[in-house]
Amino acid sequence: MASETEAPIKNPGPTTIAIVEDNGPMRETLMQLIQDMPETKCVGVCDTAAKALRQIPKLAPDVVIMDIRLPDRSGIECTARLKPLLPDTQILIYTVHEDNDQIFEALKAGASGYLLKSATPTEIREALIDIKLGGAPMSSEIARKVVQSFRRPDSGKVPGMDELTRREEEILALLAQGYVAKEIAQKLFLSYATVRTHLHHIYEKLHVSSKTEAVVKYLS
Amino acid sequence: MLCFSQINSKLGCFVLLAFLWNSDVFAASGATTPDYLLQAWQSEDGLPHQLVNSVLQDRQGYLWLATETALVRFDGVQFKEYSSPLIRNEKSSRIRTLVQEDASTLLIAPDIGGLVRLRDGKFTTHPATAMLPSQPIATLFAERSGAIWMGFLGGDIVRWENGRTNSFAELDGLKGQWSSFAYDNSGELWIANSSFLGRFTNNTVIPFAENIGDRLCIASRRAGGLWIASNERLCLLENGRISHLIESPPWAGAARVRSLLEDRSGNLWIGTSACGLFRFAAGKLISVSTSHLSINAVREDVEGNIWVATHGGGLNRLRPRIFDLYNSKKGLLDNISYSVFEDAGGRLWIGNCDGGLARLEEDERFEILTQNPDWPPLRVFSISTDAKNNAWIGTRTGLYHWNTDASTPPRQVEEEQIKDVHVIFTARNGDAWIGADPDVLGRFREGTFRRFNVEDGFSGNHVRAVAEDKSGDIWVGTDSGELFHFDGKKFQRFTTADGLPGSSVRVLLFDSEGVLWIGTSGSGLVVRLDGKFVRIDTDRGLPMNSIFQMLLDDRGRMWFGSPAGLFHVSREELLASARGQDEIVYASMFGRSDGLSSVSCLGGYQPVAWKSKQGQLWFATRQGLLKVDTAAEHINHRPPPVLLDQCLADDRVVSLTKPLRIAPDVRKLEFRFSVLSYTAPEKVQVRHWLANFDSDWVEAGSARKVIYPKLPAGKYRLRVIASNNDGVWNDEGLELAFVVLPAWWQTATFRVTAILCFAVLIGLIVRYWSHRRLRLELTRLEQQQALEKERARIARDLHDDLGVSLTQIALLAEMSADDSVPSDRLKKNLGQVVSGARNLVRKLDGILWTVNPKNDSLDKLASYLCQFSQQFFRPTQICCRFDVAENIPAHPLSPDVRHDLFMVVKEAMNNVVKHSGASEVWLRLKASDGVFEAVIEDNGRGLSLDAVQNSDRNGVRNMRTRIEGVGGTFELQSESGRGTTIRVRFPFAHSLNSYSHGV
Repeated sequence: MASETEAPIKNPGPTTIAIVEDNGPMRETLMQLIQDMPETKCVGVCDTAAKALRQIPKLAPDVVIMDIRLPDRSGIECTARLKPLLPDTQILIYTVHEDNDQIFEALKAGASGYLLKSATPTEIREALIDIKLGGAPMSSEIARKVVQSFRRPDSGKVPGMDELTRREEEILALLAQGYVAKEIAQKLFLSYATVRTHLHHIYEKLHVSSKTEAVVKYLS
Repeated sequence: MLCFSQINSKLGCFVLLAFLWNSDVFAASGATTPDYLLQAWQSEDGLPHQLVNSVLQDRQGYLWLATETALVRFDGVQFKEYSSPLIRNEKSSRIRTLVQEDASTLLIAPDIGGLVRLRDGKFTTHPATAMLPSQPIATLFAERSGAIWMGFLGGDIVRWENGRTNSFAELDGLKGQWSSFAYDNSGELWIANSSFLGRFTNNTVIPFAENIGDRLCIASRRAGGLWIASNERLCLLENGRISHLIESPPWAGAARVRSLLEDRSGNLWIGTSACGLFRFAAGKLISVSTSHLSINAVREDVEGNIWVATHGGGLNRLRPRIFDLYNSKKGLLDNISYSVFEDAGGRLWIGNCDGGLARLEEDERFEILTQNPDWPPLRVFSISTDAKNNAWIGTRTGLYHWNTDASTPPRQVEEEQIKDVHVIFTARNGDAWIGADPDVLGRFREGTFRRFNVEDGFSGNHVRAVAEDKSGDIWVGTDSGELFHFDGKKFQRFTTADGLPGSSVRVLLFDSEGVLWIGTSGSGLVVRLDGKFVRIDTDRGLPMNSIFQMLLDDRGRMWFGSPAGLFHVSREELLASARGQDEIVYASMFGRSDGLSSVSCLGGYQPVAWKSKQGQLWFATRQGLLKVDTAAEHINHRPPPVLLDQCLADDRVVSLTKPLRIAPDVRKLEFRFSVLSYTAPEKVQVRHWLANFDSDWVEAGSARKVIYPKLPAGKYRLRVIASNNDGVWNDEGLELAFVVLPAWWQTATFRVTAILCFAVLIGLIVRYWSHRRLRLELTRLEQQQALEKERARIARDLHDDLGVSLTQIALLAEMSADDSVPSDRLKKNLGQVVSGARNLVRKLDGILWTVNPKNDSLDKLASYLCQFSQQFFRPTQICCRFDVAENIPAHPLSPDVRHDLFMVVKEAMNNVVKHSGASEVWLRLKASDGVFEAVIEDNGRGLSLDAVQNSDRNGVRNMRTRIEGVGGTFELQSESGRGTTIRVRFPFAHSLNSYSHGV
């Protein structure tokens, strides 16, 4: 398992990012912010889910910033449709305020993290780096939901594939108690990157374990 | 003597002994003296014992019998025994005699001694009993004054009056046992015993001087004086003088006269102890047959029937017999007579079939004319004579003419080869009409025969009846059911097309009012009214549909002879039925109980029945020529009393209370009653009507009971009326009011109670409902108020938090827009704008969270608390840790509770940040046993004990008030240097209730 390995670095160049956001000013601001950052590059913007599904697979960006509320359909569904087409692309849910249920749904549908619209430019930058390098940070609430989700006996789970390692469970427990990734790294004597990799795996496993559910809910 | 076989009737079985001939003991029976018809009731008819000591009819109409084993009541149908310890013991239950004391009281002399009263079904000892000799009473007599004479077995005679007794034992010759008493016309009481006869005046008995004989028995005489029967003679005491009527009677030396009675017709009845019953009338003593030769008592009932109590033959009833049969026993050669005819001189001619032609002479003897040696042997079918002594004799071989005054024998009429002469009819003008088979209809006028045929309009054959109407027109009926009317010139034909039934016409009769009656074979009676033929048959009450003979008697009754018997119907009733006024006619059938045994009337010949000038009716029957002497007929004018005997509810006797009450669940209600007509109990007609149930009178035949099915609760009135054998109705009848009680659920009490209960129930429901409505309204108002409060709070929050922050941001931005602002100041201002805006977003989030109803549940609150505290502590140096139970339920929370809980936790966190100096804070959330617990625990410096005790001074009081306001508890734990723990508990399971009842 890749529990103790370094985080995967697929592309040494600037992180390519596509934005799916219907709010014009917010889209402009976000694009500006990404263009201003040296590590990131905005490769496309879409204002509807339909356009996103048409354009983004061609672009194949490293990261998609996905608004949940879109005019034609929900960003969660869009995520669920995009993820199978672009398995290596990390999708970051971008939402106005913290709605844990919606965020968790999006995570299950294939997103690997989330970003609040109230985030500062620094936070946005960190989140983009984190997601490029591994799993985006997880709030204690989401961690609790993830733990619960894995405990639930679910027919859609593939045995062996989606079971959490002890380390991952440990990390999730700490996250649930309110520890942030850096604190966890410190506490478990791991590098921050390793914790990030673990998080990445946790997200992946969540996607796998929720695949059937997502198919039923959004793709059928 | 004929003995009729047992018959079955509604009355049960009884043996009827009819003695059609009296043995003429001392005098020849005259034509005017009626014969008597005997009916006997014996053990097999239900009579308890063959020995009947006495018989009596009470004022109500019941017959009472003193029998050897019981006191018995007889209603004409049933015998009912009455019993009491006063009249029977283990040794004897014999009743010796009984009399009527007053209208409602019977006096009974039982064999066990004493005198017993029976009144209204109750037995009591007569007050005289205590003063009487110990022997049984053998003779009883009640004076008109109420005084009672008692003859004792030992010979004593005691008179009781008004509580005092007077014994006559010492009187010479007066012996008690066989005493007899009688009033004479002047109201004087006579007493006879042995050879003693005396008059009772002023409390003394004055002996009659003359010696009349031994074993005296006396009776009142309507014409005056007394009847006296003795061992030696039958005599009469009139005006103090004895006149001898019969010397050496048949009982002389052989029997004692035990009972003497003069009936309403003047017959004297003499009952003897061993020689049977005698009737003395018109100077002649006639023996009358009874079922036993030992007679104990003879009584007459109110209908004129003679009742005989016999010593071994049961109870006998005698009534005049009006029928007499003339056949071979009376001198005719053949039992069957085909025709009967009375000539102008009143002599009766009989076509006696093979017995030839007979004539009844004045001495009641028949002269058989065909026995005359120079007469030819004739099988006579029909006979008629005219005023000129011409006799026409119809036979099988032909028609004969004979001058009744001539000595020469009859001469056969050779014309037309007439044979089989069925009909001979002499019209008023002397024409002799002849009907002969197969198709002859002819007329002799002045010795000339004229035959009618198709040219005259007569197309019929087999003539069966000829009649003449008022105007002298001739009507002819034929076997093929046609009728012809001859007006002297032409025949007019009537067939089924004119309304005739088509059945063979057997007899035609024009009654005294000119109405044509037609008797048919099979279609009943047809009457011609206003030119139309109306049929009356069994559907309208006739007993049979074959009418072969018809006569109208002087009492307006139509007599009908049929092959199955004889009956009569009122002419008025028949006409009413024919006019459609009355549906049903009442036929009175004559049969065995009238001394007629299955008579079969003949038909097809004329004249077949005749009404004599004396009013006697003659009918040709297979058993002989039947004479009905309507003059001797005793019309029963007495309406029969109808008396209730028993009421049975579901076959159980109901006590006859007044008013009579019937239980509600009775399925079968039966009333049994008596119709007291003894002349012919089987001919009684009963009608009943139950008011509120029957819509009209119900015909019940002769049944003595009425049965009704389950009746609905309510008041009823049963009326039963009945007629006697002569159709005299007792229109008063029986009237009985009764009540069928309502079942408990039908009673007024129950219904009122039920209605009240229902009303109370409705009231309670309405009350509950209005209370509930009020409460709901109150709740709604409270909710509205809470909502308004909530909205006010949100508005305040929006204004305070957002409004102030926005104003501040706007102010800072305006200040920064000035060019003169130094750059460091500008940077500071911008930083403030950023933090203000961020702060604003956070507050907006908070407000939105509060407003969003999706968050109104406990798990959402927990989730939000974690999220909030994470954000809250992020800018601080304090690490926020969570310990959140997994099983926090999605229990709904009201917005204000949610708000208050949130505010308390927020306040606690505020305090941690402001005062604790802690490095770590734990937020622990759990829900168990319906209680939500939030713990905020820090590792800061804590509070002194003093501070804890006075903790209410600061913000802690706010928190406590808030949480207690929603029904929760607040707990503060702290120790100096050991951190602070705030524990908030809220019982969510009841939160909604407490909320809805108004917080």
